[in-house]
Amino acid sequence: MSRILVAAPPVDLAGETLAADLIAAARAAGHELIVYAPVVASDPEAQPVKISPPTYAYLDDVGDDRLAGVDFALELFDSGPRGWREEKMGVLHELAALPASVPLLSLCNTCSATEAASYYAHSAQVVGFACVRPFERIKLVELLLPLQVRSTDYRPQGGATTEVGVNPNLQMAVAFFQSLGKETAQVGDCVAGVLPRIVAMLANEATYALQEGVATAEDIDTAMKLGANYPLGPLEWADLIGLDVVHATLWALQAESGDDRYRPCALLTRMVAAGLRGKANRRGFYDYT
Amino acid sequence: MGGGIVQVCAQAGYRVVVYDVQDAFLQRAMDSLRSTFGMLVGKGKLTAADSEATLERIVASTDLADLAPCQFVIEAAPESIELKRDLFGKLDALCDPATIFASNTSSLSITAIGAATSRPEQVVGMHFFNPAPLLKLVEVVAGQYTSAATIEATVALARKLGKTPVRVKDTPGFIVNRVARPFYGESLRLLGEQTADVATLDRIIEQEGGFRMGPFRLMDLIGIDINFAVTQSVFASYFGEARYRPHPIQQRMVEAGTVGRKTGRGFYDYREEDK
Repeated sequence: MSRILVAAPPVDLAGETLAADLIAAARAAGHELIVYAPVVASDPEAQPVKISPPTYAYLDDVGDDRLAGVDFALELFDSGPRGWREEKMGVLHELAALPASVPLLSLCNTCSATEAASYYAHSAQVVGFACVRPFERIKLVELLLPLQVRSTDYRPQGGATTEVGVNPNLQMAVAFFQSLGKETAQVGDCVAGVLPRIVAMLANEATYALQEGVATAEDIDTAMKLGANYPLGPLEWADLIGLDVVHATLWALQAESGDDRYRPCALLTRMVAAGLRGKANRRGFYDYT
Repeated sequence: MGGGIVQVCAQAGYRVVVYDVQDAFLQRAMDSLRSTFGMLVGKGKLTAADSEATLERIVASTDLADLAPCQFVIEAAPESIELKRDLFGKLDALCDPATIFASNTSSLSITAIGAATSRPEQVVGMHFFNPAPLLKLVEVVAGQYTSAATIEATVALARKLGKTPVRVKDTPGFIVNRVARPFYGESLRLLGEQTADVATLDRIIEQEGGFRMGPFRLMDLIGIDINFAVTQSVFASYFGEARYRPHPIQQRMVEAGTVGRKTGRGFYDYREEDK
């Protein structure tokens, strides 16, 4: 089992976030977690993630000896209530205090692995990963290598998939997710990998249909499950992933590509502005109170 | 699709008049129904007496006037707006003024069909999903001037047929064919950007997402040409909205004539297993 420094958003969202899912799964698998919740200037009121036993600490308090024994760091900022970019940038900047040899697994549901690595001093040690919620439902996690990784380790995807050197950090990531009972697939670096991007686009399209009064949220979800065999309706799925996360995924795709197809539906933008985050705070397309 | 709808209606206890333009088509449809019922009886899912009674409720005709006594007409003709407008225009003169006209169209405007009749408030969409006897969903589509009473009557009929109706406003692609566009469109973009190959993308979408079938396997099954046509239709209907933009990979596959299972080759190669 590994000793893992976990950098998680300092908010308690009743366990309904990917960060909370992953912390619970890693703990259940027997990993030793040092949960580091950075002080985020933009969010002084934020509460730490409620975990048991409480091992929540600030990086300065962790101590050099324990830091030296860390096998790898797990950074779980996929969004933030008041702007995920600053939080992610801030925490990756602070993690520069880690020894240069420590690999960093970075959650890339709202950015590319290359962008995440660009905020981190030891950028060649980064492995990005992406997946949807709920974590217990999925059988597979996607892994992405940033461009900063040495070119001999970079494995181009698609038609040219070949083994051109083995990245030890990638192997470590595969082993970690294996310990949580998940398979992995390496994909070329991009914002949000494959499935979080597809589900965000399905949710966005369903939100446009809702905004235009094409049908009710219930009927849209029912139609997709019964008519197209979807495992979850796109709107209930967005509630589970978090509307702020879905919105941030779309925003990042639009920012990176400049393509109009990724613009978030105005209704989704307004729901996020209103603080409707989905299952996490019990209000989204559906009411969970 | 028409045969499946006839089966569903007759099995629910309704008397059904089936109209088609040629005797040969009707003969083929009735033969297929008899063999379906024979199979159901063989499996013990239907008694021989029920099968016989159900078939007796169905009358086949090539004379449109035989539809005159029907209280509800469900049209499943080929997807041509001219054809459907012409058909409902004729039925408008033949049927009782109270009769409701439903179209099983998946892509045409209910409003445009309604405008060909003197009763647009009684023209509604009733979009079944293939195979109709198995899939539960029916999209009940309200055209611009469809009345609330017509919608409620259609929803009630769908329920009596054992279906789960959803109410939809008349918009291109309705719910399913529209909301599903990114499932194919984003997957094609991910392939085009060389994020992963076809098999890896399908594996991720099936194992991480829990989808029954990945988008490339599914496009091969539907037919890449059919899927491309639906994409182009929705894209054109929304006047070039970027979210519905087709992908050059689709066009290239259609140009190559390798459009999926029916041609032995699409995103995957089926020629070995088809031998």
